[in-house]
Order: sequence, then structure tokens, then C-alpha cells
Amino acid sequence: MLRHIGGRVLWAIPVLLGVSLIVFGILKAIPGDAAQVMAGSDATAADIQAIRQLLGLDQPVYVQYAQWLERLATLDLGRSAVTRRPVTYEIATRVRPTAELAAAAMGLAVAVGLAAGVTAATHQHSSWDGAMALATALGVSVPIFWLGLMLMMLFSVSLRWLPSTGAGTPAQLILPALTLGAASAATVARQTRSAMLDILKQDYLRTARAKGVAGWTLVMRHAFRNAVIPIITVVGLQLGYLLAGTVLTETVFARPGLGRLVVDAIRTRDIAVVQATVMLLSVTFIAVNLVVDLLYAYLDPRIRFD
Amino acid sequence: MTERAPTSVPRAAIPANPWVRAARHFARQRVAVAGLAVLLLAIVTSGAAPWLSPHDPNLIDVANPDAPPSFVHALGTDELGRDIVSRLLWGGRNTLLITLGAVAIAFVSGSALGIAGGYYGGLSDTVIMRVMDVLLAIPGFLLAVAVIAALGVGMTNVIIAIGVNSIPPFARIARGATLLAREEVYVQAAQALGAGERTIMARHIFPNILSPLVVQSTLRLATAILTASGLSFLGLGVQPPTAEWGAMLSVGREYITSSPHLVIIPGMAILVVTLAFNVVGDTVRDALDPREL
Repeated sequence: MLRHIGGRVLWAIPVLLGVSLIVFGILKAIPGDAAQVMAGSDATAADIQAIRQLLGLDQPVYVQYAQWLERLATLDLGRSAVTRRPVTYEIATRVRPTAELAAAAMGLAVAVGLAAGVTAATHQHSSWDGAMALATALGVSVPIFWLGLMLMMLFSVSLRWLPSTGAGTPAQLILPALTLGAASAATVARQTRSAMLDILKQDYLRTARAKGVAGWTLVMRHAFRNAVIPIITVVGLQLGYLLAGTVLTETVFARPGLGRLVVDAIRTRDIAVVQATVMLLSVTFIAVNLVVDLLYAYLDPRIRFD
Repeated sequence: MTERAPTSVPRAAIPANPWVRAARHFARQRVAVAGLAVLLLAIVTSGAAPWLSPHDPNLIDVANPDAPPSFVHALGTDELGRDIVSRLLWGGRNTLLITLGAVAIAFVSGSALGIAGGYYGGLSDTVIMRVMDVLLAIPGFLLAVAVIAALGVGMTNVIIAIGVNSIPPFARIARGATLLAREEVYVQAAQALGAGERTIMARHIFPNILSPLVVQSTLRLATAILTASGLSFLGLGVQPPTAEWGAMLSVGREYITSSPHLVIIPGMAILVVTLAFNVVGDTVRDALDPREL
């Protein structure tokens, strides 16, 4: 078990380094540099050169990468070229709306997805199963930014039930969470249904039925517990979708989160902010999938002792 | 012994060619056939946009903004008096071009990387697959956004960004299938006959591992169109005044209370085409999955 955990944790290190290299490399390719943005349009060549030196931009690229990594490790991410405030401050003030949004969307996706998926599997070929198939097909096909705008039109503009923009109150979280969580709920429902159908065909389920186990006990204790691994895998992967989806959702609902921050920073070429935010979201995704991996071993002894 | 009792499924009815079998399975699914029809309609009409569109998609008519549907403008006009039908056709052309182009890039490069990794094994395999792991560790849409940040906005760059973003699943599938195919007799036979490595990979392995790659392509088209329109919606994709469904939606958003059709129409177009990609993709997967037949 310890070896399994150790191996998984160690494996995350090269992946993290690789991600940092890609994030650094991609954003190094941006035409124009941070010094120019910081200096402003009326700066002289000498000013820009001075800022370049200050930021270490006159060093060779691999030195810059090493320095960036070093600063990343100590969470010293420099300053935003636009607001001049520390990047850590910019990010810290934006984490909460995004974390709340992703968590609410995930909660919704798991709750709705599991309930719908289990019901569809236990009532295969029923009209409920058919309605579910249609709903999940729509759910994975709807563009989230459009769904957001439609919900906003209905619940904010026409019915005036919910606020359309901002963050902070629970009411402001409802529409964005619905928007972001819909596609994940559909994906979780599909995966749950197919995993449950696979398990329900197994011999040990027939044995359980023959013993007289039925209803809720059969479905939850015998079937669901064995279907949980593929379901958890999908949930872990959905987090990546949700984190990236905050970029669109926060734009639609003018929510001051990390997703919105990335888009604004790209527009203003605020490279330090883009790098740090993409890095943070990727690290979160890697960490969650690491936890999911470890959870497998906890839930399924066959993996633990392999 | 020449006559046998007829069975419920005559032998001749099951073609040996798996592609023909898959096509027959597909043809029996009415929803999938409808999905395919929708896709063909979308591809043909947007492909023929230069001939079909009733007006110039960028022709501004300030005297006639937000016009309701009429004989001249079947779906009305947008905030600048441009004909919505024409913009929808031209927009579909750009949206579909990005989608198909991106998946084509991913299909070609992902398959090539995966087959090479699987066939050669060793260090090149390790390097290729670890790079894919790293790409998969960055949440998909965010990777596309980061690539756009580096390359700049515009249609070609969107195709590249989504293409890069879609390479890892193709590479993984191709590698896995190649590892199995490498041990097959036909590969050993080709090797024994002195065929070169490239010939073996391109002419012998690739055709035999095609079906999971085709499945991945059709399903990937749905993701690609959502990513493409999402990037344009954020202003990171196709730039105004060029018509593109996501970009149309992005502009229409500012008039959402006064002219909701500017948002509803392009959004419906994206939804319908994505749904068709998904339905066709799911059915192709079932049709090519030997366990299902």
C-alpha cells in the first residue's frame, strides 16, 4: 500500500515539471514581452531595457525557466504587468469565487448524475431511461456559454428570480453552478448507468438476488459499491473540465474568479498572471487525480495488492 | 449436403468486412441516421455558403438593424443590419472548418506519434507518452486558451490550438492498438519479407488499428466544435466581423434583452451540430465495437 502511494506521489513530480515547462514555454512564445507592457507605450528603449534587466528577461531562456521555477516554489510570482500588484494577491482575491463555483458544480454533477444514472440502470428500457438518454445527450452537447445566457434570460431577465452577475451570495452561485455542472452531470449519469448495467449482469448479483436480496440493498450494497471505481474516475476527470469551464462560465456571469482573470490577462498580455493561473489550475487538477488514484487503492483491494 | 436448413441469420447476411458490418449496424439506428443527415446538411449548406447565402454576410445596413424575419431576410438582421441567414451559413463554414481541421491535425499527428511509440518502444515511446501525460494534465480548454495566448487570435491559430489539445487521446489509442498489432502474424510476415519500418507502420499497422481512431475522431468533433465556439465567444478565436457561430453569439450577447434571437439562433446551431456529432460518434463506437455485434 505504502509503495503504491509512494509511486503515485513520485509520479506527480515529473508531470508537474512537464506542465511547468509547457506553461513557461508557451507563454515565452508570446510576441512582445512583459517589460514592454509594464513600461507602457511612451517608454524609451532604455526604460524597457532597464525593466528587462530587473525582471531577468535579458538572461538565457533556461536560466529564466530555472529562476521562474525557484520563484514558483517559494510562491513569489512577481507582479502583474497591468495592476502592478503581486500576482499572488491577484490570484488570492480570485480563488474564492472559482472554488465555490467549481465545488457547487461538482456537487450538483455528482448528486444529479449518480441519482439519474442509478435510476436509469435499474429501470433499463423504461421511459425514464429514454428521457435520461435524451437529457444526457443534450447535456453533453450544449455549449456552456449559451446555456448560461439562456438561463440568465429566463431566470434573471424574464422571471427576475435570480441575479445575473457577481459573486458572494448563494443566489449568485445558483445559475453559474447549473450552467457549469450540467454537462458534468450528464457525463457522470452516463458513466454511472453503464457501470451499473455492467455490474447488474454479473453472476454475484444473480446469486444475491437468488438469496433474496432485493431493492435498495441489492442496488446500493451489492451493485453500486462495485461500480464505484469507473464512476470515480469520471468524476476526477470532470474536475479538469469544470476548472477549465470556469473560464467560460465566469465570463458569462461576470464572476470575478480565476477563469475571468486568465481571459483578461491574455487580452492585456499580463504574462505573469496567465502563467501563474494556468499553473495553479493544472496543479489542482493533478492533485485531485492523484487523490482519485489513491482512493482506488483504498476502495479496491485488488489494486492495492497488485 | 449442399442443402442446409435455413437458419434465422443466413451466413451470407453477415459480411466479412468489419466496415460493411459496422455500416449496416449504423444504418439500422434511426437516430444516428438522422444525426448523420443533419451533419451532411450542415456541411453541404455551409460549404456552399458562397452560392447559397442570399446576402453578403458582412454587408452592413445601418438603416435596417434588428429587423424581424421578412421575405428579404428570412431570419431578420443583426445589430448592424447584416442578414442573419447569410452570417449563419458563412459562420457555419468557419466553425466547421475549424472543427474538422483541428480533428484532422490531431488524428494525423496523434496516430503517427502513437504508432511510432508503440512500434519502436523504448526511449522514444517513453518520451512521447510522458509528453502526452503532461498535456493531459492541463485541463483541456485551458490548454487551448494558453496556446492561443502564445500564438495570438485568429482562425489558423484556433485550429492549431484545438488540434494540439486533441492529440493525446489519439496518441494513447494508437499506441495501445499498435502494441497489440506489433505481435500479430501479418506484421511478422511483413518484417520477414523485408518491408521497411515505415512501410510496416503506414501500410500494415495503421489500416488495422483504424477503427478505434475513427471512433475517437467522431467523438472528438463534438468537443472540438464546443472548444472552437467557446474560444470565439471569449474573443480569443475568430475575430469580428468574420462570421463564426461562437463569435456571433458573443456579439449578440450585448443585445440579449432587446434582440434575444441574436443569441438563440447561433447557439441552437452549435447545439444541433454538436448533438449530431455526439449521436453519430456514439453509434459509430457501438458499430465498430466487436463485442456489440
